[in-house]
Amino acid sequence: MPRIFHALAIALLIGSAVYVYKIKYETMGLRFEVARLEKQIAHERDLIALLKAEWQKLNSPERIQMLSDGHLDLVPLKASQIVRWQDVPERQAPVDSIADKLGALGLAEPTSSPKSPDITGSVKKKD
Amino acid sequence: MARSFPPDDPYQLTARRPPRAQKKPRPSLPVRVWRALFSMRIDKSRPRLVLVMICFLAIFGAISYRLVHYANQPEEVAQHRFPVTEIAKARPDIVDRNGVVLATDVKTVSLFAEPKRIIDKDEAVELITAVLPDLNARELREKLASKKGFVWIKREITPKEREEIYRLGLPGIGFQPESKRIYPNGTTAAHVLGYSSIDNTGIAGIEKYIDSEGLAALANAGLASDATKLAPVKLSLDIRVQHALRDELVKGIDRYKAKAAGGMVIDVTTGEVIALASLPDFDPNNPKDALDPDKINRVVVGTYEMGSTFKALTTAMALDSGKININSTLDARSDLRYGKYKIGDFHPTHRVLTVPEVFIHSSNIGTAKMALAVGVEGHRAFLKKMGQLDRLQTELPENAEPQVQKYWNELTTVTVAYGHGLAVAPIQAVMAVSALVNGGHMFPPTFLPRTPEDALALSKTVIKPETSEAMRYIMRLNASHKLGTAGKADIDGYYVGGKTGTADKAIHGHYDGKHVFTTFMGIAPADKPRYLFMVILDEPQAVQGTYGFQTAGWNAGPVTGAVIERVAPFLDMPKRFEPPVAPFPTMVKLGAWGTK
Repeated sequence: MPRIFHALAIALLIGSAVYVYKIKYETMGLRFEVARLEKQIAHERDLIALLKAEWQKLNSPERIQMLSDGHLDLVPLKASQIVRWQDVPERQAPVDSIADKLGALGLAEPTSSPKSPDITGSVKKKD
Repeated sequence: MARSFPPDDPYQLTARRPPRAQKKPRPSLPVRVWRALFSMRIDKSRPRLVLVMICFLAIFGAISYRLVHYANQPEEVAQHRFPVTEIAKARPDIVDRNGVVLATDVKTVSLFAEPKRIIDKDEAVELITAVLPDLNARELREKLASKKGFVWIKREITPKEREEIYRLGLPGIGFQPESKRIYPNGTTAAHVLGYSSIDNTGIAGIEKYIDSEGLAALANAGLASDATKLAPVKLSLDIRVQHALRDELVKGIDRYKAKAAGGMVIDVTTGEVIALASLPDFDPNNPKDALDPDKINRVVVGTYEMGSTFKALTTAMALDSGKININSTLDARSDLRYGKYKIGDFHPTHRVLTVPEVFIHSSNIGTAKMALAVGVEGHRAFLKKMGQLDRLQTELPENAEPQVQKYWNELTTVTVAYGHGLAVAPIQAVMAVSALVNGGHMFPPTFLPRTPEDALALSKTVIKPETSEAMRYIMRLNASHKLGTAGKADIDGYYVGGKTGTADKAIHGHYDGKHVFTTFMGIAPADKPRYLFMVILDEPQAVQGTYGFQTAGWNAGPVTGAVIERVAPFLDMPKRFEPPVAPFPTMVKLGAWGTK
């Protein structure tokens, strides 16, 4: 009986030692992981700051104005260009003078060209 | 005690004493423990063993407990690995009122070496120059051969270079993280932001203010260790307005061939500075630029005789004193004479003028007479109350003492009445005029956000609301009336009011009439002002289109107009299509000149 007890105790001892060892190494691994992630977060944060700075540099009013002056035909807004909704004129009905003329000539009516549904191009399919 | 230590007979295994007849008292606990520990009798060893076991169990228990306890403690040791220098350098971002970044920190890495710790210097030189080909190999070899403990190899390397050098695995080579201050908008708002030094300390402008007020306090509280924990500093500036103002000033300098210019947009209900520009300016990314004395902040540090814009103050004083009312008449038929000095008008009218006429004709004689009606002492006291005789402190560390004449006689009052003989910083004049038009509440301008309630709480009332209405009325009249001088700034739909000022510059101690300093103060909308726009031009010339004039109405005025037209869509000031209904009821009731 005491022998079994001793064997059991020794087994438990070794088992617990192995377990502690394992936990310790896992913890170490996790700690490294945490440190790595923290470092990565800091790095990402620095990169974000850098990108923000770059974004603002690219968006700085001075640069936008330079680009606009160089590449666009836009001019600064004049106070007279700001108007009330009711002051905006109604859109005119579209005037298509060519269509009117064609209509007057009677060209809009269907013509009596021969109907041949199997002509796709200009050459008729041979049987 | 019958038995002493050591026992009389240590070998009691052989002989046992007969039990004593006499019954002894039971010994006390410590004594029994003592005996149990050191008694050598085999039959008494059992309690001893038990005792030893308990002791060991207790010790092991304590150790186990400590281990568990220790393991559960948060890790603190690992956090002190980084150098403290990096921590000290973090600065908060600076953003404008809409959150646009004006200044930010960017992390860079610098490469250094500790020559004593490098084993193979030739190999190190070879490998490093392979990664950084722009380094001079010979110089590097000399650096590494030196006896110094620390040498910089290269400042501000890229992350890729850092990675490659890291992979070389050279001993004695290290990286120092550094913060670099970046101003992405370049010259825009340079004078407000200021700049910071190589080791990221604020040297001028808001940067210095942050160091003196915010950052120092934060550092003491132990909060400034990490840039990510620092809340960005929000300013009252609007970068769009700031840029537009600067751009229009650049155009103004160009057009009128001025030496310098300055401008400001301020919210008169809160005292928030929306934009402040001074030209020539500098790029804070290159702080050496800023040292040129020509690049001072003219709006805050420069002191100038403000010319006729000061007439607004004189008029307000005279009206507020009650000695003059809006319908009073002032005789401007003949020049004023003080000994050898003769005070005349630039636009002579040679007749009797009412107060609004004096204002729109910018009559020196009329204004001087108003000041004389109040008297020398009253005039001085009023200017003192309006903050024109003392240094104005804002968040910016830069400021200027106004140049006040030591002996203040009647002539001084006469000249100061129309803005000569007293030089103030333009921002001071802006503060005073803001108070004149906003109902009489004076508060110092600020570069940080402030609500109208806060502004009112720290304001002091300097003039009556009726006087303020009169000021708004005559300023509006000056822009709307055909004889007024501020017509060029009257942008349709914004109901602008304004006052021009042209001061002769004293060159070598006397005014030669050729060098002028022009100012314009515009308010919008004049019936209930929200913003004040100021433009100053130093020595503008008469150019084509100004008909030979170099007065403010022909240069500072149109520049202000251009600024108003351009920035109004950004501001909290919608365009109005109908003129306001009864904007100046008291003036109409009094039947002031120009109301009919």
